[in-house]
Amino acid sequence: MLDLLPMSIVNGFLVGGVYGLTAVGLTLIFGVMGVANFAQGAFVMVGMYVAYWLFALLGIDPYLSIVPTFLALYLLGWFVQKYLLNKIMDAPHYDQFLCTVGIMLILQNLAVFLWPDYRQINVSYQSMSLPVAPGIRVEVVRILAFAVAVGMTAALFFFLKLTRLGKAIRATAQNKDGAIIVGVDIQQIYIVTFAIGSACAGVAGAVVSPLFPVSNDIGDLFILTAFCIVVLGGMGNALGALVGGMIIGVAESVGTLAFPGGQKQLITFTILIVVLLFRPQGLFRFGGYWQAQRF
Amino acid sequence: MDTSKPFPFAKVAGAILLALLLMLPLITKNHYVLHIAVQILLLAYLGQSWNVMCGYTGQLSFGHAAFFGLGAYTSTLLLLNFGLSPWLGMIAGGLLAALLGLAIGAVSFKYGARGVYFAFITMAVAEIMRLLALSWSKLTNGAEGLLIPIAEQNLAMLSITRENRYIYYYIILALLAGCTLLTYKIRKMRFGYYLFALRENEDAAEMIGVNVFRYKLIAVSLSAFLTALAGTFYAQYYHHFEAQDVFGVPASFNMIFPVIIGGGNYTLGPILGSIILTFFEEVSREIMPQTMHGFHRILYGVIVVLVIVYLPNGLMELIYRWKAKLQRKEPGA
Repeated sequence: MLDLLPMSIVNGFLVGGVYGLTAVGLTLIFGVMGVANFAQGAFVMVGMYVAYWLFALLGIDPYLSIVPTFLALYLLGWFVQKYLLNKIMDAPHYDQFLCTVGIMLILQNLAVFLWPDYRQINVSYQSMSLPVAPGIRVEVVRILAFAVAVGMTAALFFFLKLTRLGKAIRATAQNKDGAIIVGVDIQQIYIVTFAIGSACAGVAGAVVSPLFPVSNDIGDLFILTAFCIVVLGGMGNALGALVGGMIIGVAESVGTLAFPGGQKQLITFTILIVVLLFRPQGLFRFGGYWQAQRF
Repeated sequence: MDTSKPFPFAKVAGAILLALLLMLPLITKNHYVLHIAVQILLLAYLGQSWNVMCGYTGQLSFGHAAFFGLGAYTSTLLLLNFGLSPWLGMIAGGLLAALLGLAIGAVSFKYGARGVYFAFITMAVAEIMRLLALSWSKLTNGAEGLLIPIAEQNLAMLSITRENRYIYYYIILALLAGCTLLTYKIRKMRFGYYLFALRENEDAAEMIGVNVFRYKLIAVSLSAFLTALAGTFYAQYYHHFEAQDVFGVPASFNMIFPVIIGGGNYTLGPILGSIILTFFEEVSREIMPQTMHGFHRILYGVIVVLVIVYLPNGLMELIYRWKAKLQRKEPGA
């Protein structure tokens, strides 16, 4: 078991980056408008299907299709926020949450209806692996998935930090009334934020499509894990989400090794409860990037 | 009819509904009709139990499956291993669930977990219960689930043969009627007002002297107890269940939707929601052609989303609006 440990830590770390990207979208949406988006897992699934069909029909490499998946999920999120969630932003928060559960039901069952079977993307470099340290070889697809996920998160950071729109989003997250007073159209900010958050899930879906079989229930795997990560990193804390993703990825990967045949997610949920109780603000405090917004 | 008094809309509607429901097995012995009726009543019952805690106190739970599954597993394991009557097992499961609810509530409320934070804790507890049921296969038979063999008719053992399945109908009807009456009474009681007060503003309720911590705990345990009873019923009715069926996230959400669709602010809301959702699910599955198989689940999601967005207080609100309109048209006529 011990000789497998470094390998499983590396693998967990890499998958954790992708978990992190899903969670970054979730935490962005949560931080700006207080909506816990349960459809995020379904958005990952949609991203995987978009990547799958682009690959199956047009032969586009899943790592090139991150651009079309980003756009597709951006549009989907845009529609969801503009025509559904924006109408109930003043309602209690559980209404918004349950609305996203309904959206998840629609997307997931649409996929069950259209494609009930499992599908697989086979890229030419599927079985290739690289040595990252003496004795540890890692599949190329995992490294690529990690690189894209981290790159995307970094891009999101610079967008939020450096652009005018990013500043408006952060302003809305920190103080809605203040944002309105200085002239931010927060309804529009909600739409853009939800769209970007969804697009993160879509990109995460595209990058993991060579790793996991594309199936209609894949969203379940991502959504609960993503919520755990968001809580771990602090709700509304984007950098925390990325780090939290890696922690959960490693914990699950090592947990599988430590308890073979056991249920690795037991660890994840136990972590979730402990953090929710004792550090609801998350494990980390990263300066002024995000004021974790509380319910 | 004396129209000078306001028409007791809810009471009359409830009485008519109950009378019709009592007569149903006399009208038809059709297994399919009774099966749908049982599903409606079960879902309505679950909705009512969930609403006691979540609708009345605003302490959202997305993990009520934890209590539901505990009820199913407790009574079934007691039955299979010790031959204990499920009637007693039902109470045992209920008490265990109430204890679990008490534990979750005590720890969460002590550390000040509220809103979505509390909802996530309940959801995580349900998932942990599911994973435990899956991994502790010596006791729970793992992923295969538990099977309750039905040998002969024996009401004391809640063992009901295929010919007499209408008895299940009366059991769940009695449960629902009891639960509805209880929720109706709670609304009128001081206890109910405490719950509503702490839902509207916890700090303000605390300020005027409501023991928020205690009443939240009572609401959680009561709701957990009621939910677990339905778990036992579910196990006995279907004779077989798996961890995913009773502990899974879908099980938790299934009992929320009737409340949302019907309207949690009204006593009859969860019942209306259950009727609509079950009818929709079952009927559309029957009438849709084979090629459209599974399409009804999509429409289910569409209904949920549309009701939440356009009728945040549920469909009962439509009925009350309509009633108000009628009363305006003929003022005191």
